[in-house]
Amino acid sequence: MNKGRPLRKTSGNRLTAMMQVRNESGRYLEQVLEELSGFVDDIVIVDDASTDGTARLCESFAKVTKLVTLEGSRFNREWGLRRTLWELAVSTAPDWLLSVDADEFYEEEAKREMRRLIDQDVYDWVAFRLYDFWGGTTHYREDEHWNIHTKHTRTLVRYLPQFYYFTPQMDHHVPRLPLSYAILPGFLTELRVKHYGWAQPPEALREKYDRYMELDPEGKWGSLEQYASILDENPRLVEWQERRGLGRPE
Amino acid sequence: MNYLILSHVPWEDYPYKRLLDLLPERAEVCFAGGMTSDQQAGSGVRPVSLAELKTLDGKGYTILVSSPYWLQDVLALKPGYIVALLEPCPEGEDNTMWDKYSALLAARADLVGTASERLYLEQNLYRPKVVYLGGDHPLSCGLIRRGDRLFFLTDYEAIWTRALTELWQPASPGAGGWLFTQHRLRADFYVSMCGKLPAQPTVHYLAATYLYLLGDEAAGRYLARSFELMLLHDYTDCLHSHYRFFSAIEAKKGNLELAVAQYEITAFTEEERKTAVRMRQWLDNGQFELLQAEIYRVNEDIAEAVRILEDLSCPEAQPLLLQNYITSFQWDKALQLLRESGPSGSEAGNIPLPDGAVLPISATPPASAVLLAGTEIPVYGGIQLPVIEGTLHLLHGRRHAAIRSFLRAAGAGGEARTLFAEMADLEEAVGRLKGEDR
Amino acid sequence: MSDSKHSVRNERLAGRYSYLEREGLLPLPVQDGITVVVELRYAAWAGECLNLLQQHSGASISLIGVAMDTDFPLKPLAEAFPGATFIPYEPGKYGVNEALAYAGTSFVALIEDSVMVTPGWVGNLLWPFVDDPSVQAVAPRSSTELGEAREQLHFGTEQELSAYVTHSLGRRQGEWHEAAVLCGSCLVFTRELLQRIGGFDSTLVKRQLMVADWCLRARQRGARLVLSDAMYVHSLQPLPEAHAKAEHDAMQDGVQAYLAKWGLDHSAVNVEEGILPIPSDVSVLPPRPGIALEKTAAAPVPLVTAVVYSERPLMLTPEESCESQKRLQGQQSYGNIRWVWIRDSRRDALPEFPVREQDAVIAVQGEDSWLHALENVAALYGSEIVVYLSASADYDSHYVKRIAEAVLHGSADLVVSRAASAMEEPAPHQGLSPLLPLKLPLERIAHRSGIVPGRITRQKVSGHGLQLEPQPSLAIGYIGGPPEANILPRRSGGEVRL
Repeated sequence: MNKGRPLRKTSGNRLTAMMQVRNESGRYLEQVLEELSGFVDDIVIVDDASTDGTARLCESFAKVTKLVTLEGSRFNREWGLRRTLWELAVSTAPDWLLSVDADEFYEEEAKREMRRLIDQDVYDWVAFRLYDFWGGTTHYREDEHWNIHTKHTRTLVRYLPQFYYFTPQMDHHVPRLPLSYAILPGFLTELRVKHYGWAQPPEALREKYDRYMELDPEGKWGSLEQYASILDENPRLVEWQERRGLGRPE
Repeated sequence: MNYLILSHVPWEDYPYKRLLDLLPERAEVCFAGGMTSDQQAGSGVRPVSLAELKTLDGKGYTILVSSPYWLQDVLALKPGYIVALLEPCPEGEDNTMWDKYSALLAARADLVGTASERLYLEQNLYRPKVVYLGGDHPLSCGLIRRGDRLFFLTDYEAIWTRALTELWQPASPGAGGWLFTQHRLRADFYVSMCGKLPAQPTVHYLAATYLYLLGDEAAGRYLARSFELMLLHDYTDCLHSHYRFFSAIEAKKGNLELAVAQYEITAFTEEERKTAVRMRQWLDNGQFELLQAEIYRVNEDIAEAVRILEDLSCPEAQPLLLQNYITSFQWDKALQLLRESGPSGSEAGNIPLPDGAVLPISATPPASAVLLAGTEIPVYGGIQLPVIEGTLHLLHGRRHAAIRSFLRAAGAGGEARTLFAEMADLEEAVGRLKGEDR
Repeated sequence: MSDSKHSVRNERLAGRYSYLEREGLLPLPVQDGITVVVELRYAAWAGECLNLLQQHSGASISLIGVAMDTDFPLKPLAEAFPGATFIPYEPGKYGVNEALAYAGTSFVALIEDSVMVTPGWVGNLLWPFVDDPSVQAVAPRSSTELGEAREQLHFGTEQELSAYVTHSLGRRQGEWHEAAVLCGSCLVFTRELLQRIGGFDSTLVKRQLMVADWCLRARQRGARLVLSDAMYVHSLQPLPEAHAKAEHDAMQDGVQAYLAKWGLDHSAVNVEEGILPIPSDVSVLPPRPGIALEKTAAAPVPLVTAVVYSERPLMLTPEESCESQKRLQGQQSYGNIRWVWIRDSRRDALPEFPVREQDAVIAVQGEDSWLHALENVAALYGSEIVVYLSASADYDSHYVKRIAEAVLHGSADLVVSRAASAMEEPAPHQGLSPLLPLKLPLERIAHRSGIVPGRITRQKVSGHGLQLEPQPSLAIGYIGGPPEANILPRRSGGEVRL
């Protein structure tokens, strides 16, 4: 660590996005990278052995400063994948890290507030409201099994070089960022993130369902009821409203 | 050696009777309070009345005190040795007052003993000589013959007798310290519990704590595991208790740079940030002992901080030592330090304080007027100097001097009223204690 | 006899036997008593251990204490237990093997001084040998054994311990089972086995490994090892101290040696936790060599108190007097002497001279007190034998040894060594009772402990030497000077053959 460099900077923080990708062609990756390029300083990507043009797509963006392609899919060992991504991101000596999935979009307000969120020394992480869009990009799902937006999801963290980073070794549903941040002060914002992973036509949803049932037939890592609800024919959907001027940190 | 027992309960309920059987070099044992003739015959202890107490020549006695409200009497007796047997606050007593005066008693004692492991750990961080009067060792570790009775000793009973004997007879060199032995026993116990309860964060934390006290490198591993388990269980309020503790462990290993970085991560309040800056400065200037002392202090290991600071002669060490004395209730030493550094302090009789303020003092003893600059009254960790002086006056039976000191405390309206209320509460508690013993 | 009558009879016999045993009315099932070898390591516990052994092992017990390190203070034990023998520590020698060489009884017990026994412990451990002659070694339950026999208990007092032992005896009397190995702090075995396989292999360093190795060797020779389910002994355990690294390394070497010796690779050994690997089949392994039991040239020697006095004022400078003391001390070959100088400070104005810790200088005032002190020295110091020496006499280097052995091995209370000197010699009275009371030269006398030898006075004839009028009840024996066999009549009738 440089002498004289404060642990928590109140200005001039670099924002680095980190992402793992796998065969994203035909999906939202290009859009995500384009949007990210507008408000982050660097993008770091681990490509989990994609066999389509995903890697080349990533390379085409100037802000993608690190891209590592893994041989042989690690999807079944999510923990190892997450760790590789974390170590790659950390190796760039970042100030703040934004963990983004290849199908997540920050609302306009959030993008505008980003710098203000990170240029302070009071808290070390930010959690957003994540919305699961369903069947398309106009509505999100809200019911018994689909309510992640009623909680906060931590995606933006300050990197502290000497901190004890712990991510439990699990095979699925590994937290995207080390659990250790939970003990540090953080900010829960009303700013929103749009998740388009489920914003797909029924056949695609069915394919996803089949994949989950193949990987986790006994519901060890997720709820079987929730898996079944993927096939609901008439899920409860709420229309997305763009907002202005909300979610400012105090 | 003669022993005098100043108990918190009447003889029937006295919980340390077996320890009395095992007292080393046991000559006369007296109990302040009432005892029936059967009780006397059975125990070999004789009762003394409060009146008789005043006539005892304390010099030849070791006093075993188990209530903080005896403190005034203890000080008046001027005994050869004081052993404080600390109890958690009993039902019906005021917690704050009990804890405060227990801490003052412990600070004055030559030896502290407690059957509560929580108190044992707390006291270990305040002072070097604490005996744990409990344990999980399944075997007998010693013996004592008293006439025709042969006693076998548990681990802590063997340590108890050793600790007492070493009060008046320094240990032979080469004999391992009993403090080390008890730490080792507890560490071994918790390490084995970790094997049996691998997902329990508390046993790992306790193992880490004892290993830390032993200076054992394994402390870090157990703390890490405890930390991970806390996270897995979603007990997230552990930034200070768990994460900051790493800095103390690293400091013990000599990794000061890492220790400072770890502390910085936990520094959020104004005071903490200032401390972090100061630590960085000391690290950069090579003032490693001061740095170490501060790292231990912020981790509440006052004993270790004091140990380092007492050996340092540089001027910056004084205010830190003062702070630590006050935090650990060693108030006599604090006042002594203030008095000593008066004339030999920096120019104009000022002492620089940790937060950059300045304490101008004179070398006069507290009984007469202490000069304070303007209306500023120095505060150490939230405790005002006149309050410290006043409390000590009170404990030494100098009631009028106590009142004068309390009046000097800042905002002599509300603040003093609280102090007088506490004085009254203390007197009432002492009265209740002695009334019970009649 | 019918079956039911048979079983009633057996029940009655068993009941009667149990009663006798409970009441402590049964003698030991051995004729010649038992030798108990005690490993002395813990000075704070050894005295109590020996005390309990003496109290609870019956009359015919031979105690041999072996100091297991140089710092162990043997002297206070030797004084407190004059009937026992003590072997001091000698680096390079394993004292226990030496002690075992002296065991003369058919059964031997090896015990650590951390063991506290209770009444009847010996008898209960000897029964398995009687029940089955192929049993050659028996151990009780304790905190230091392995497996089921490992009981980790604490008792607050001796009474609680005794109550527990009695209770478990009551429940499990007569029960024992065969064990694959024994390694604890109390072991009883036959002398026959000891002579067959020898002593303990001290290259294994750790005591438990030595015992285990010995037991495995025993099994190789067909001996059965037994754990007594009925009997418990209480073994104290020292608190953990910071161990020196060298000690720790030595322990590790011992562990490696043990594993190598029995062909066990890389097994975990943690005897304190009850983990001790052993070969699954000892009979297929080639027999391990026995360890010879060694008797040293100097036998375990009982303590002799040598009382030195000087009849006339010594006209010596302090240096000269110091020299002469040293000469006297240094020249004697006997290995275990406590020197006591008794002086009349009115007559001898000599400054103090340095003595060893176990020696003493007693200064009294006036001739009468001085003589009185000389008469009563045995009361002051407990030791097997008291030998009187005059500072102005000459003694050959084996004098003390000779006269001490005469007291030790003979039946006389008091022994006189005839010397080729001008002192008055006792005439060999053959069958005649003397007319005058016998007077013996004090500087030629030794006597056993526990007696006042008689009256000491100044010789009238030459006026210098001291003489002793022995008490009439004492049996007196005579020995000659350097080699001369002799049999002389005893004073109070009968012969004493020495």
